Amino acid sequence: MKIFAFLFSVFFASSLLAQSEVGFSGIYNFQTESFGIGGRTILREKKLIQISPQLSYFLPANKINEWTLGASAQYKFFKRKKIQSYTLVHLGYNRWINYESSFMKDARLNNWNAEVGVGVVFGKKIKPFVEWRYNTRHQEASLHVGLLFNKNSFKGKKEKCAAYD
Amino acid sequence: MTNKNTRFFAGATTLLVLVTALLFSSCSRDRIERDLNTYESPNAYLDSKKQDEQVFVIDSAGEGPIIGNQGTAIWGSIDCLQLPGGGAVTYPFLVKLVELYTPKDMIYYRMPTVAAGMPLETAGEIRLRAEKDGQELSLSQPCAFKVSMPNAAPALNYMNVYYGNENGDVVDWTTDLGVWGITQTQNPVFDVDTIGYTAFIEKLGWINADRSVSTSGTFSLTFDSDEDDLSNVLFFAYLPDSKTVLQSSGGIISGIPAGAFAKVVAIAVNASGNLFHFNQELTVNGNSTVMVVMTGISDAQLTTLLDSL
Repeated sequence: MKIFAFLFSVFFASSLLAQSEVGFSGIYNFQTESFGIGGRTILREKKLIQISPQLSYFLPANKINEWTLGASAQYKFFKRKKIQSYTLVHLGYNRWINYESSFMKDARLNNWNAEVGVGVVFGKKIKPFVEWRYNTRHQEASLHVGLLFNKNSFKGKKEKCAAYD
Repeated sequence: MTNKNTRFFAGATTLLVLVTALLFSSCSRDRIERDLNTYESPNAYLDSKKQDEQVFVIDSAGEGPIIGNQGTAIWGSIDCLQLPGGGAVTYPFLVKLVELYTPKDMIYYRMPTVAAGMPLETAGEIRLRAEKDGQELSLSQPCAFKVSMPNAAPALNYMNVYYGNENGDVVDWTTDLGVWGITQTQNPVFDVDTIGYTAFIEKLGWINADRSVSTSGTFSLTFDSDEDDLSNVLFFAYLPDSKTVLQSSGGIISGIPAGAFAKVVAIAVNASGNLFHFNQELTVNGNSTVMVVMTGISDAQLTTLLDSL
């Protein structure tokens, strides 16, 4: 997990410097009643189809303790002013850390998960987003709420030069 | 249509398909909840297997006795019977008899041998009733019917007359006729005759030739399973040394004498009507939990298993 988190952090930081977005989110899985945290970058941010490497981690205090490293393909189908909507497909490697405590017959440590979902992003600099996802393997729904940042997020408003007034 | 509109409608269609698919997709809590096999109550199956109630039409006076299929003998007089209001009974009337002399039949009838939570050694249970024109008859006081219950090796002054106190689905056994406001006038201890155990009974209903099992204490068995939902499973324990039949209540069998050897049998039926069972033999030296895995069994196999108790 540590090596994956490190690599993701490096990727996360470099993405912020490049023409892409980074973000973090809080996650709630309705079926497992578990809270998690997530990090993501958005590549090809201006394009119709975006790619988003993502890492999520469900804390040990939950009934399910796991992390997932994967990537989403997002299709932006609606954009108007400061609102964008997209559908997504996410594929990821899942490590279910406390699988032994589950009563599920085929519970195991290493898994491949697929998710489909829909999301909405607001704003232009610091961009709140809400995403609803459905995990097809475990048949679980989750809500992701977070913020996206790009390299313009922390820049102040440009001051006009008096010489050009 | 512009490129922008095409894109919007393609996206909207994708979203509509996705949302529809998600709405009709079932969500699962399998990762945090037990994925267990479920069962229904086995009562209908047990009812189909239990001893029939034998009905005798008494249309004239006679010497008797009335003899049941399994050898129970009954002597009684019409003068001892009364209608619910206390009126005299006329011929014809009915005598109804259920005989339970094996653990199998007691299990099928769900008639454990327990008195106020304490185990009883049994030599057999009968239910003796009388009926006139659909009205339940009772014995007038002081009056008694003589019954003899078959037994190959009866012991003198050993078994007591217990009466069944029906409380809902549970029958609790007691020697105290005062529960029904009856003053005892007969010897409450079974005598021995050529049939087996014989006594004069002072109340119709469930009768049990029983003896309290002496014990230094009792323990309970609880049941758990990683594979089966046990909420509708019925558990029985037969203690061959004391000929005691115990039945689970709320998934627990209690009142097992310390150190008793027990044969545990669980019975359930699934939604398809298939029969499932679990059986285990153990010596009970303390409160303990039995891990259960229910397995399919045929009616014939289960009958053989219960016959072997």
